[in-house]
Amino acid sequence: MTAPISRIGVRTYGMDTSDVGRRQVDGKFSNAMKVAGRALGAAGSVVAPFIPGGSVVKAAVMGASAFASAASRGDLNANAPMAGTAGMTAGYADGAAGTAGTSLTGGIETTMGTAGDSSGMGMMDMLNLQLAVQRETLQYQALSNVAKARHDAAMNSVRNIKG
Amino acid sequence: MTRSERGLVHISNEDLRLLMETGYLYFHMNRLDEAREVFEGLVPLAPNSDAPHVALALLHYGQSRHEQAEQAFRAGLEINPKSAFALANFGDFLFFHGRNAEAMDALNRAIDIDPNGPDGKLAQSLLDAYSDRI
Repeated sequence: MTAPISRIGVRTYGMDTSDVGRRQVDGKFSNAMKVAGRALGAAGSVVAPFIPGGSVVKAAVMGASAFASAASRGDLNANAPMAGTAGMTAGYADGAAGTAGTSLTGGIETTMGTAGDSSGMGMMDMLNLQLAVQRETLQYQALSNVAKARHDAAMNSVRNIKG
Repeated sequence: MTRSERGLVHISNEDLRLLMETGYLYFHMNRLDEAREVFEGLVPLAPNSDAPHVALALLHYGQSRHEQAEQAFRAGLEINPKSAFALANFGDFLFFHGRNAEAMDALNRAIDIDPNGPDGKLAQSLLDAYSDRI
C-alpha cells in the first residue's frame, strides 16, 4: 500500500519531473532495496568506530537504511532524497518518506533552503541582515556606555560639590 | 574665607549635595522648570563649584537652548578650567554641533585630567561613540 507523501520545497535542478508521480514499487525492487539497505546499515555500524568521522558515516548509512525501508513500503518519489548522499540531496520529503531525508549536510542544506524559501530571503539577504543587526547592537552598546558614564559622572559631581 | 567666597548664604556641603541631587531628580523626571530653579539657586550657594553651571548647561542643552547651554558650560569652565566633568560634557555638546576639533580637544583634556575616574570614562565613551564621525 502506498502512503501519501506531502512534498515541500522540492528542488529539481533542471530535471523535468512533471510526469513523475508517486510510483508503486514492484516486489523485486522492494526486496533488493531492503537487503541492500540492511547490509549497508550493518556495515556502517561495524565500521563507524574505526574510521575518522565514523559517526557521520554511520548517520549517512542509517539514512540509507531508512531510505531502503521507505522503498520497501513503496513510498518512493523521484524527488525524495537519497539519504546518505550528502550534498547531492536535491530535495526532501516529509511524511512517511521524510525519515530518508536525514543525511547530515543534506539536512542542513535543506533546512537553510526552507528558511530561505519560507521568508523569501536568500543567503546573502540573511547575511546582510545579520551584519546590520550586529552593527546596530554595537551602536546600542556605545550609547548605553555613554548613558551609564554620564550618570556616573553626574553622581560624582553631586558627591564632590562644595560651597 | 570671605562672604563672597563662601557664598551669600552659608550652606553645608551635605545640603548642597542634597539640592544637587534634587535638581537631577527633577531633571530625570522631566520636571524641567523645577530642575532649572534648583540649579539656578545653587549657583550663588556654591560659587566655587562648576557643578551647578554644568547641570544648568545640560538642562539648556536638553531643551535645545544651545546658546545658553554654551554660556553655562563656559561659566563652569571659568570657575574650574580643569573640571573634567565640564570638559567631557562640553565635548559632547561640541560634537553635537559638528565642532569636532574643539570637541576632540575638550574630551582629550578631560581624559588627561581624570584618566581613571568617571569623567574620563565619560569622555572616552563619547569618543568611542563618535568614532565614526572623527
